[in-house]
Amino acid sequence: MDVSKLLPFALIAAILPAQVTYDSILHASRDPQNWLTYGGGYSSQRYSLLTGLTPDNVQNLELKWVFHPKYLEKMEATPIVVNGVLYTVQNSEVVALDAVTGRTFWTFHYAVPRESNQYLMVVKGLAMSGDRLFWATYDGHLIAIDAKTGHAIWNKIIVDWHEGYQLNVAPLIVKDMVILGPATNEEGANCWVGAFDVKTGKELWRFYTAPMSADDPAAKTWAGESWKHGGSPVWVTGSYDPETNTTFWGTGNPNAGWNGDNRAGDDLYSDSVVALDADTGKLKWHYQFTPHDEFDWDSVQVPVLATIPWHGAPRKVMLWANRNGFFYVLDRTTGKFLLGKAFVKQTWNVGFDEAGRPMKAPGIDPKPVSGPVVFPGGQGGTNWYSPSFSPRTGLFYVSTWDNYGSPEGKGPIQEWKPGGKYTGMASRRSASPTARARFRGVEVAYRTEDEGYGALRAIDPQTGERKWEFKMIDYTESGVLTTASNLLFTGNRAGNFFALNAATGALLWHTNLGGTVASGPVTYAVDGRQYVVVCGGSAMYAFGLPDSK
Amino acid sequence: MSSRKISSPAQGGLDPLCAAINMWVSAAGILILAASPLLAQSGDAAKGKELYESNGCPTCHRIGQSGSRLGPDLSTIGDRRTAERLTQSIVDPDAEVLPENRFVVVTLKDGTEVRGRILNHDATSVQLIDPKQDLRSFETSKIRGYKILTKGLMPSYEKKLSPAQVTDIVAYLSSLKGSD
Repeated sequence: MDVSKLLPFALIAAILPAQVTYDSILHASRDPQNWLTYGGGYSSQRYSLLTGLTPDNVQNLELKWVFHPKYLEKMEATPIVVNGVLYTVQNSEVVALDAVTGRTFWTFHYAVPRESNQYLMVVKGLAMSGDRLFWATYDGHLIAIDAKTGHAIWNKIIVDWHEGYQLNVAPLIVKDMVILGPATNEEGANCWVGAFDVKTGKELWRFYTAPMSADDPAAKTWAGESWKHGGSPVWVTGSYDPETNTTFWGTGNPNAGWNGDNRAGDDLYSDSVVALDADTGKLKWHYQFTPHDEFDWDSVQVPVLATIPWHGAPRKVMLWANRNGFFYVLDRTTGKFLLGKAFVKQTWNVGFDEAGRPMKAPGIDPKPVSGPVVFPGGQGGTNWYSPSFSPRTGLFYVSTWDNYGSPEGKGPIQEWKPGGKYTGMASRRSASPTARARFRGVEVAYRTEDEGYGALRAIDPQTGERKWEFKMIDYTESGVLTTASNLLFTGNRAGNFFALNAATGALLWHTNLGGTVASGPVTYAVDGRQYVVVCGGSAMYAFGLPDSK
Repeated sequence: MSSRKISSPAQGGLDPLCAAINMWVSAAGILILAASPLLAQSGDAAKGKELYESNGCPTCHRIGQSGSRLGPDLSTIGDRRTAERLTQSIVDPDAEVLPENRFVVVTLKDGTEVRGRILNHDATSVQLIDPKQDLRSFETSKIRGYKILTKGLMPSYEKKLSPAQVTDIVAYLSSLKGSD
């Protein structure tokens, strides 16, 4: 072929619009065949307008393909799907798959050093802008990858894992910025939310979620110099409100996590949502869900943005089911506390003051031994699992754990060393191998089946009241997906993957994937056919209707 | 490719540059040029860069963040190919093609042909990147045919460029190395 025959293609290539633009993410709901961000769009509602799958045909779902990464960790990543290509990540590898067959287009490998792994080498997902994917690696690199070829474009070290940092969050793209932050796995490294230029990786702004100097007003909320190792990690993706140019991020627990004796005060901005100007990183407002936390109740849940009727008028709100067991409604423009209502059994909070500050129940402080029983337990009423909001049903859906804890693990606060544990926790009691083997994930306490179980709950955000629940017996780490045809997809640790009626909670279809469902299901369409993808164990599974139906 | 070396009419000739050029005959009998390492050093990389761009090479090739992804990425080609190999690729691009650089054509049921560079091929499907740089996947049960193009999409530049120009381009390509 003469090269001249390719010139028209060259022109096409030159004017090809970027695959994922700021505008396309702004209007992600109009483009339901794709899944463009961790939360399915800037509002993080995980709600799709696709209606190819319905309550009437969902029982016909069949397995279309399975993808097994080379690594065997529990797969937590939420994929991105653009124009029939699915991108995901596990451990040291990013892949581009044909979303119809699961066949690999390319694989990008970056060897994350095993020694940087302080917990599980899990990654929550990728972000995409233009033709670039962004991967925040466990060992502190932010890598831009060409989505067409799988070649690295740039690779920047943004935190040093030797100092107790890690990256496992799926970044958020806003305009020409990659926004993300580091976590610290109870190692007292002060964390932040930051923005980086998509083209170069240059850092544009940074907001510290734990103070870096005594001059920071937040430092006054930490006794003495305890702010120096305050942690407050970032490990779940935030949301963005284009109307106010505000990005919202949840933060994790303060360090030392299980012993707050040396950090009297609220310990800002731990266990909070921070509302930041997306162009500057300047704090607009914050709300702290659990002041002076000693229960490990990270507030790293995904901020779900919605407009709902509120006392007779539409109101722009943020919906948040927190690890501390309360469902919150905040005015997302001002941060005003509108509602806080328990969605699981709780015993730690006797009520909220007018500003929305919880009033801690007496006698629940952690003890070295014989601690009190507190609901919910250390794993919380929920955790990082993505909830969903359906504008069609008007309901908020969240994976919940009813459970309790006995915070008797309080121990001496360790001397802080870079990269060392800084927990204030006594030696963990270890369960018997038999007891451990019963669980697919962390252990939780229960005395009776009524006191400890997992459930998918539907909450009316106008009242905080539970509309229905789908009880699972075993616990769930699954995200939730809802669709415009009133379907709801979720899973649990027993490996089940469920389709429910979003209006009623009725079970419509299920299958077992043989491994913990610990990611958020996503849906997309190729050539008019709808698919739903979810991870089970260390693999990813795609379902769709039979070709003949 | 099997080939045999023949004496070059240019050897010992007037142009010192050409002294570095050997002539080869490929198994197919195509006369091609090959260069010694000196060739890359003696070419003018700056001129080569201009020639690379003015001759439409970015239409198919990518260097850094410029150019198409259709053909092989040349960003670090200087690390991976000798000057002789680069010369061969310019004047006789079909003489030797790595499996990952093969061009293929997929014929759809309606007769439409889709050409592109192969990414993967298995018992039931084929994946490629097409000239629009879209990643495409085809199930073999849903296509009429698939074949590897022995005549690739890249033309020979043997008659379009002078030996000196080829040498300049080779010098430019040889300068493209990774940062590590």
